[in-house]
Order: sequence, then C-alpha cells, then structure tokens
Amino acid sequence: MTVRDQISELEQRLWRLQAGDHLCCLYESEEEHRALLSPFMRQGLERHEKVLYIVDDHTGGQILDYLSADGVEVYPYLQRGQFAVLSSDESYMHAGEFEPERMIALLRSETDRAIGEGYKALRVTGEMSWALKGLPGSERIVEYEAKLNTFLPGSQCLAVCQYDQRKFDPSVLLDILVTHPLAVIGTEVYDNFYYMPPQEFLGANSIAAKLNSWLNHLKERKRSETQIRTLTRKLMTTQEDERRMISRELHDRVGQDLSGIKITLETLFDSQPAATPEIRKKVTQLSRLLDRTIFTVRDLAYDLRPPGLDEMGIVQALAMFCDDFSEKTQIHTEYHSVGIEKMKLEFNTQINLYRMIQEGLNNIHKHADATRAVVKLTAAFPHILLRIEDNGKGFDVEKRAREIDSEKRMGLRSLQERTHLLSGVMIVSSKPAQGTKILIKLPYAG
Amino acid sequence: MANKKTVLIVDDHTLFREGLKAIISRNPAYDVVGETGRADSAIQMARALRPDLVLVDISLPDQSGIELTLQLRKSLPKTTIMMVTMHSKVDYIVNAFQAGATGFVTKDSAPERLLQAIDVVLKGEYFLDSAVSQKVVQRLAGIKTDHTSMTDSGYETLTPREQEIFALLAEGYSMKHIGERLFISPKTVENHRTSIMRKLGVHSTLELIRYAAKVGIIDIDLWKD
Repeated sequence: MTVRDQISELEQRLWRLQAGDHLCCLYESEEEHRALLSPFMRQGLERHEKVLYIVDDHTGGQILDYLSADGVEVYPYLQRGQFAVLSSDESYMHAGEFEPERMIALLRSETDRAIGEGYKALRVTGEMSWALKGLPGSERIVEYEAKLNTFLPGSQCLAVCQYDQRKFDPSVLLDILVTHPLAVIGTEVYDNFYYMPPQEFLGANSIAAKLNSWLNHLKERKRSETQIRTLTRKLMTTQEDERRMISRELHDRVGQDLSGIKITLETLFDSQPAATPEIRKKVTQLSRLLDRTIFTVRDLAYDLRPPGLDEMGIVQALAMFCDDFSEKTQIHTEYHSVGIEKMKLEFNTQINLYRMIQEGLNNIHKHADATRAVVKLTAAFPHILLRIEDNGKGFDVEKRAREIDSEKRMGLRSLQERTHLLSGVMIVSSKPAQGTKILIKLPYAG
Repeated sequence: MANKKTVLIVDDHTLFREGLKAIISRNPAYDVVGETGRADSAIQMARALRPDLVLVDISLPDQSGIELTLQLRKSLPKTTIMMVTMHSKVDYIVNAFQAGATGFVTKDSAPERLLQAIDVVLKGEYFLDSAVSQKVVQRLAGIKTDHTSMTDSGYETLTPREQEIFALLAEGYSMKHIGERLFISPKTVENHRTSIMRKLGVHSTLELIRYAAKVGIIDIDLWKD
C-alpha cells in the first residue's frame, strides 16, 4: 500500500467520525501530524461543524497553512467564526491553573454556543504539549482525559487530543491510551480495546478492572484468531470446491463440445468432395486454432483440479505434476516420496500438500532463477516432512520476513498460511546466490 | 463386401457421434450398425445387434462408461470394447483396461488414429493412444525415472515407532535422551535401533545419517551454518 493509499484510507475512516467521539493521536513526525489534522479540520468545516484548534507546539500560522495547502480558503471561515485557533493559555490554562472540571465546563458551553449558532457540532482538537511545562494542575491531565468520557458520549462535541510520542513519557501515554475509545497511531485509526470507561479507570478497583479487561482481551484475541482460521479454512475449501466445479465443466462440457466441433471439421469434406481449395484451407486453419483451444482448455481444467488426486492419491499425482513442471519450465525437478503412500491421508491434507508443492514450485519458477529443484515428501512419524529446495538466486530471509506483510509476496505467505492451517511449522533457509530450502513439518497422528 | 465388421457407438454427444461415423465409413470394411447416447440402451442394442466392436465414452448421462464396459464384457464376452474419451489421464486408463476394454483413444486424436486403433483391437491386440503420454505407462508400470522415486523399500518397512526413533537418532539424540522422551527404556531404544539398521541395511551411525538425509528426514547442509 502506498502512502497515498494510506492517507486516503485515513480520510475515509475520519469521515465516519461523529459527535461524541473521543480520540487520542500519537504521532512521531510532522507528516503524521499533518496527515491526520488537516483532513480532520477540513472535514469538520465541510460538514458545517464549528472547528476549534488549540495550538501549543505549532503556531496558528502553521495550522492555517495545513488547510490552505489542502485547498481550503481559511479566512472566510475565520471571519464567520466557524473556525478558530486558540492558544493553550486561552483554553486549558485560562484560569492560571488547569482543572479538569473547568475545562470540561468550557467545552460544554462552547458546544452549546456552536449549536446555538446553527452548527451541527463542535469539533475540537488540542496539542497537549502544554502539559509538559510543569504548569499548575498539569499533572491532572490523565484524570481530565478520563472524565472527558463522561461528557463526550452523547454530546454534540468530538475531540482529538494530540500527543507527540517523541516528547511524552511512555507511562503517561499508556494512561492516555487507556482513556481514549479511539486511537490514531501514525495514520491508522484503531478501535482501542485498551480503553477503560471512566468509572472503571477512576474507580477504587481500577487495577482489578484493568486485569479483567486484559484477560478479556486475551480471550477475545484467541476467539478472533480461531475465527480467522475457521474462515480461512472455509475459504480454501470453498475455493477447492469451486475449482473442481469449474474444472469439471471445462473438461466435460466445453471440452466435449470442442471435440465434437473438431471431429466435425475433420470429416467435413468426406461428404463434400466439391469443396474449393480456399474453403479447405480455411477449415484447416480453423481446425488448427481449435487444437490450440482444446489444449488450453484442458490445461486449465487440469490446473484447476489436479488430475488423478481423487483417484490415485497424492504420491502419484505429484509425480505427474513434477514431471509436467520439469517439462514446462525446463527446471530439472526431482521428486522423492517415502512412506506417504501407505498413510491414507485425508483428502483435505492431500489437497493442501499438493497446493503447497504447486505454490512452492511456482515460486521457484517465478522468482528463483533456478535450474534444479527437489521435492521430498517424507513420512516420519509423528510428522510429515515436506522439503522444497532450489539452486536459484536465493534471498535474505530476515529482510524478506520484514517485507512480507507490505509486499505482494503472496507465494511464501500462502505457504505459511497453509502450513498454519495444518498446524505445522515452516522453516525457510536461504542466502543470496545460494538457493532456497523450505522445510514444512506437519503433525500426523497416524 | 461379405464379412463387414460391425460397430456400435455409445456417446451422448450427437455431433461427436456423427464425426465418428464419418471416420469409420472411410473404411468400407467397417459398418456402424447402431448408436446411442445412454448406457442402458447400449446394453440392449449390443445384445440385439451382437456387434464386433463397441466404442464407449467414459462420461455417459446414466452410468459411467467403465461400468458399461464391465457389463458388456460379462454379457457379450466376444465383443471387443474400446474407449473413446475426453479423459487422457492415467487413472481412467487403468480403470478402462481393468474393466475389459482393449483400446483407448482420446477424442482429440480420434480423427487421426481411430481407424488404426480399430484395426488393432479387432485383431485382438491392445491399443493405447500415443497421445496418452509415455510417462503414464511408466507410472502404470511403476518404472522409476532418473528424477523421481516414490518408494524406498527399506524405509517403507519401518513401523511408525521406528520412524520416530530413526528421525531422533538421525538428529543426533542419544539413546538415553530418546528413551526419556518417548517414555521407554534405553534398552528398548537400542532394540529398535538394531531393527531399524537391519531393515535399512545400514551398518554405522554415519550410514544411518546419510540414509536419513537421502529420504529427507534431515538436511546435512544445514549443519554447516
């Protein structure tokens, strides 16, 4: 995903914000700051909300520049009073000492005023760096954030509290995370499951509440993982079923029809001795084209559903696949299988093993620049071992592992995925210019 | 011509049947006496017509062509049966020959090879389409090519327990450790080890490790780094 995609995704997510929302924003660079705040303000203005920006780290001019650079004519908004930039002295610290209740009362009255002026909501954002200056009351910042959660939900106000991650102490940020239902980290908006409601966070049993909430997160996470795995499994089964269906249709219906046409063309002139040479030539051309089509359709059908897997089992089917692969790619592919044939593997395991080898070899063909490949499938109770190796150009495994999420390296990824589904482990060892070895170890109870 | 050989065509694809008839009629020695798209009527027609040859497609709407072949074989043992089918993969071919067909031609190569195939099977010989790859035959015969192997006569005889111990030995664990891990006595491990080495025909630890590398249990290269 490009940076631009990320930003436009962020904007779409921001568009779903509504009155009552309370967000913290932890940012580490000016780009991240601008990427969030610029659309946050602009969208508020576009939606006819009143927008208040409380500066501390930045100057008012810098903030106005954010909007101007975004193509927003700022001055009319300022003149009309729909947009205002305040300093922290004029807001958080305006009584000389910070007091959460007083600040919340201010937000409440400002919200009422905005609604009275005909705006749809009050959209506030504040740079919280003023709290780092040791001003009186600034130690109550976390209490304030917690109490905001008694005011904001159900109100006509929404707020983004900005924390420069480079400046605040992690222990403060930890509490900030716990007191905001939504968190923007970098350019990503998270439904924050670390959030604790104010009565829990400020209550006498806050530690117990935190423990409870953490334990629930663990369960929740486990549930999600199980769900993902179930869904992935279902997805793969569905995919295989669909492939089988399409393959059968192609082979049995389309293929039959094509063969019918072919034999008709081939025998067309048996009953038409008077046909001209031109017509005969045309038909010969058609017939040749048809041969190609038949070949393509059959290849496709076999690719979609490994021939022989249902009837002969994985060992034979793989031998044929490796033969075909060698022939097609000119990568000399050895295939060795021991002890697998008598195992009577479930069909699901067979098809997954087959697909893993298919994917592994296709990766080699696409990326490895190899001239040789070896596939070894070995029964070693209580495991099945699958080795896929090549003599190609290799890669830096650690570097690749870091890239794997962002890149379209679906090959290794989907091998990993299938290994995971079968509760196995996958070990990739490779070095640049030294080929690649993949070992997949699957449990097999027998 | 007096003794024309009679042929019955069983294929549910009308266009294809027409094509087959056209090809067969190129040889005046053959005469298509009947055609049908269903297995049940094929049996009736075969009984009534007593053809010399029945051409059978594997996919039929009411029954598989393999089943039909079995039945024809039983009720008309003298009739020759040849498959003419879309399927070119090994599994179907085995089944077809096992059921009693003596010829196998793919639909693609029918225009080219059908007449030749009919000549062969009517002589009482077997015909296997050359479009059916040579590899299929190798596969059928269990012939090893230089780059594939699908069994290992020694390793296949190991019991699951022996496989497990073999892998641990190859990974370098001591018999004491293996015993503890599998909750058996070192003596039992030792007995297993003897049996494993006998079955695999290896005589030393080094040979055992080589064997393990050969069948893919361990990867010796990895030890280098």
